Amino acid sequence: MKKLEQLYVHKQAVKLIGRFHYLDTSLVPLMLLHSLVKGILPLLPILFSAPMLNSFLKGNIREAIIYIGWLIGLEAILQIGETIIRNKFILHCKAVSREVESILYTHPLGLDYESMEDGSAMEEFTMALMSLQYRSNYATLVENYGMFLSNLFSFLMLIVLIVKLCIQLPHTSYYWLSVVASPIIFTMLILGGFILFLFSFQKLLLYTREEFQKNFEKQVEAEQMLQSCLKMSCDDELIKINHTFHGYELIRNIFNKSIQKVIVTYRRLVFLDIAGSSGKEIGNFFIGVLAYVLVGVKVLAKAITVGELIQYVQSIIQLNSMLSLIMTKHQDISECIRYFDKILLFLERKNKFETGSIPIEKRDDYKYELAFEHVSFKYPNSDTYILKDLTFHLNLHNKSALVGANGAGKTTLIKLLCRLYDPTEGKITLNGVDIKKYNYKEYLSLFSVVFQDFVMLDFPMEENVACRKDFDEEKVKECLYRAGLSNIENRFEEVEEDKSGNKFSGGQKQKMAIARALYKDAPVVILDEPTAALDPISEFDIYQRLNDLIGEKTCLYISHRMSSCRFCDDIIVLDKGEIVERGSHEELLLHGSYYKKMWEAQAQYYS
Amino acid sequence: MKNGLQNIQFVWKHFLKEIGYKSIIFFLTYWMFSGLATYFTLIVPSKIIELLEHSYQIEQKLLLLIMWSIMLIGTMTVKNLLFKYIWTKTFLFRCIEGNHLLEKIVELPYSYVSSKQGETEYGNAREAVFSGNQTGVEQLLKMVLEFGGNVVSFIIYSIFSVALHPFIFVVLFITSGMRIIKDIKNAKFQKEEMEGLEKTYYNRYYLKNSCIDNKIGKDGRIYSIKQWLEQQFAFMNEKIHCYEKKIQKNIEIAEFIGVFGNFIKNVICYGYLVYRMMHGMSISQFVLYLGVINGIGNFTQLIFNNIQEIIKNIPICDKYRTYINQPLLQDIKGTIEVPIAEEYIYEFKDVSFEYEVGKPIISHLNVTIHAGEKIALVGENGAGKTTFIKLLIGLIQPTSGTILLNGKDISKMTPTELFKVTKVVFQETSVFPATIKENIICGEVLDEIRLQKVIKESGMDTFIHQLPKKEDTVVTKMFDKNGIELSGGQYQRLMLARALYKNAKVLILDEPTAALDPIAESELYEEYNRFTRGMTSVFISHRLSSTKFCNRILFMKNGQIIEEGSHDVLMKQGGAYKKMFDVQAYYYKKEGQNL
Repeated sequence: MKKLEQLYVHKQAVKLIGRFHYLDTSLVPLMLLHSLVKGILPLLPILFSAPMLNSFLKGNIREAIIYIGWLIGLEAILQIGETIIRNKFILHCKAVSREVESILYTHPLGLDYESMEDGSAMEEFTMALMSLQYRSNYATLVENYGMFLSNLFSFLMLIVLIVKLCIQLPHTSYYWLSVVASPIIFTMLILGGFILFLFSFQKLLLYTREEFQKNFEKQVEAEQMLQSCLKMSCDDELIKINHTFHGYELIRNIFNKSIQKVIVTYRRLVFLDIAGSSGKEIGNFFIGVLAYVLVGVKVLAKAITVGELIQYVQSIIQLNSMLSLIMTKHQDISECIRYFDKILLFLERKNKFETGSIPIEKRDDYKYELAFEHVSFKYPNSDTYILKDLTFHLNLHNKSALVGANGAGKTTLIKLLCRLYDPTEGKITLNGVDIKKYNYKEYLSLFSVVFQDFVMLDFPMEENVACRKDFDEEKVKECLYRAGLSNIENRFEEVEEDKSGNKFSGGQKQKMAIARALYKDAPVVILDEPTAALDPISEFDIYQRLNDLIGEKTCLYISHRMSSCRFCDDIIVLDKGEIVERGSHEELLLHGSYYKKMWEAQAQYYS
Repeated sequence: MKNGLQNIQFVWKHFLKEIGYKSIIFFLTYWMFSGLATYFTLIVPSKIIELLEHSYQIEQKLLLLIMWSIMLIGTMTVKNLLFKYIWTKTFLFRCIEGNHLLEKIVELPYSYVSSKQGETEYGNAREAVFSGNQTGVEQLLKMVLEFGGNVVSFIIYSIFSVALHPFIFVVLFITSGMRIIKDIKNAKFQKEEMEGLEKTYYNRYYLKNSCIDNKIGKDGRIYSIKQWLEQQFAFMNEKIHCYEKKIQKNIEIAEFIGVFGNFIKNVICYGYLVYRMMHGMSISQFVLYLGVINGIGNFTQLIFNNIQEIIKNIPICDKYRTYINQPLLQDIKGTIEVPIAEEYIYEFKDVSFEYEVGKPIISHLNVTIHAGEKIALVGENGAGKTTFIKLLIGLIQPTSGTILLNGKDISKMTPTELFKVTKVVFQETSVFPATIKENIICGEVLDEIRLQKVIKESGMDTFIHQLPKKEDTVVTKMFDKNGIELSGGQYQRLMLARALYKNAKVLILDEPTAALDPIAESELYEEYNRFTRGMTSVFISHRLSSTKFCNRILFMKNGQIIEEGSHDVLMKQGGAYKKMFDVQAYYYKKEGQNL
């Protein structure tokens, strides 16, 4: 059973190597070729040493010179071949690894948001990343497999040599010498030595490896801790607080504790490593001495000549190291597979939200009708309902505002609307059809959203606006202009070097986010507190442009600045997950209570 | 060269200090065993052949055989085990140094840490301890260790080869060193190419981090950012691949030269050995010298690699050394005592500040903040308000001009003491991954009553009371899985509580209401009066409504104060402040009222 399991590892390895074969079809042939050449190369001196020395012993210098010639020539040719193949192989390996890495890193962005925000998928992802980073990427697997094959190849050739040694008959009058050197006893001695050694060594190796595995999770934890510490140490805000509030002691404790944890974890790993390798060293020691003694006996028993001594001693020692290499590589491969499995597992995760297939009807008049029907929602792993039994229509083709206190559920409502989450109860419909039945990608294409915590990446501004590398330059410029960033236009050439997203001020970034929404040109525009970080002038500027920005489209607006509600035809007031009031600004001021309270809280200072 | 030795000495000294002086013994023993192992590797095969051909008794022969083989393999085993052992120590050492570095950065002056120079220098210093086993202090130590062992081995080989014939030594030395010229060229080339590529590597690293960033999730889906990032990845991968191709090509050439050198060496040395055999050299001698000519090349290559690694790691360690030797904030002692008073007066005298030469953030600013005064600081984004605050606290120092606290120059005061004067709520929320309590108290003394009072004052009480562990709950999940994440408003309140708890006389609030809803905002304004009773305070806000509570408004533009006075005065003046106020008030007013 156990044997089968070991074979299963290789079946799995071949399957996994095949999984990404499409990325680079020349990688596997290169690997095979390299392992063949690499398998022969170290054996050359061993193979040639015996005939060479024997010729010298016989006094036949001519013959010796011929052997030397062969050795030198073959070695040079094989070395050149090996160099060419290896360098190609390395290059391909690196490239493919990077590609696999890219695939893994971008994968979560294609998955549904819900499962990425809840822990399990994220944990799976972190595990996959850690596996990639510390244990096994695709190239490691292929490289390891190549090395395994080349070692196996050398091993088989050495076995042939050693069998040849075993069957040499002794020619001696010493009784016990002839017994020890006789083929059967000699074979048993060598086998016995190896089995004894293998038994103890492999046990130890297996044990340490297993322990190593068990510690992997701890290692991941320690690494993450270290990363958190590093992140903290670079956190400008935290350092400010640290100085002004004298938090040195606190922060030092946090660092010391985490590093201590890291050290404890790694101490254990290092200990295991040492234990494994000491076992190996001691095993090597015994085999080495055994090789000299046994081959020495063969020489003394006149079964082989002195000239062959080195060849056979080297074969036994090499056989031993090949054996341990094969075992380590086998372990490495099964480890690679185990970790690579984690990567595959994650890559095979399907997007839960891709449930529907109905295409979205393309309309020029933007007449879409969105409705919430008895929608309740709580976040996964939480018991508190953020939204409770919401039912309302969004009349598209006008401007709506969503107001309410912190934590009233405004942003959550947006997330449901854009199908980043599905409602816990009830349903949301578009033109009367449940949104789950639409094609997910097409449904998303309906919305341009500027979230409160939008992200700009450190790449050229135009790319940030278009969200792609092959953007339409004219359109980007136009969107930036409409968002009020026309003055930056002149700086396009000027700041060629670092026109990256994060060099801009909060206000400029906010405008870039708006430009991004414009570039997408979706029929529904949602703005979640787009002016929170802006000074009054920029804020006013955005308000003034709002009509122009949105045009014929539908706009849903969330803001704490009540003044922004003035532009909206329809104001929905949320409180604790429920709609408490709804109407136009004037209506609500006349009849409403909660809205009026909020309005006045701000307006009083300006009257 | 001198610098290199200094750095090795520095790392070495630290290593001995942290790990213990007996480590020297391990290093020396390792070198000794390297030598022994090499020596036996050379002579044992020939000795065995010699004794087998000799006319000893069989038993004697066997005994000697066992003895020689134990000598050979035993020394190798000891050498390998020693190396492993020392490696554990160097590894531990790296962890300890990492801790030192982390501790160091949070205690360096803010003006240095936040500057571009400080940022890059920290990044460089980190490389020495946080980049794995193959870079930095650990690698340097390991390389010194290996280098020593290899040099000892090389010397032994050299002696043997000179004994064969001095000319053979020269041949061996030259042929094994042939590729080194190309290797040196390659290293240089690689370094040059790398400089151009550093940005790509950094960008790729940044890209990877962006992919893991939770924040990207929402935008990621709405704007199908995945596609964009895939394009970025493909672009960078291609760029790196091109570079690697060039590098690999050069390495290949160096290796070809190596193969060629090896071939030449074989032809000459084997030729010479055959010649000697023809003139009566024994077979055991032949085996001995065969070992010499085959082995020495390895060691030249190894020594070269060691030196290359050492040279590569010295600048890394040097950067680490400079960083770790930076003076701590605590070590900066002022010449003037920080005045201890009930009330503080700040005077800015012709203060300028610039991060980059020629781009002043604050320029020639003059202002006095009187005792007990409530100041509102307003202006557009980028007017220099936050920088003004940083200067006032003493986080950064003016490029020119002086700031006086109760008539004394603050640049001459002990910074850590100076920080005790002010308490700040910064614009960006930031908390320690510790309990709520620890976050509020920070460096102050624990006072339960006071703690409960500020929790209530900051409006956190209802929230805290519903937590099972109350104020002992850990915030952020960074180090504790049971930690909680707070919402924007709650963070803001926590920051406020921290400031209120601190026993300081000057309160500074940098946009504390941006994340609050209208009612909470209004409440905070009401409270503000109470918080600041008898205190000097500075309030930054984009909500101009807040300014009504302040005695004086400073309107900043382009790093200067262009208008100052009370709300009414400024409104009457009809300048920039009025314009801004009207703009904001516009939509709050009834239709028909104009700007």
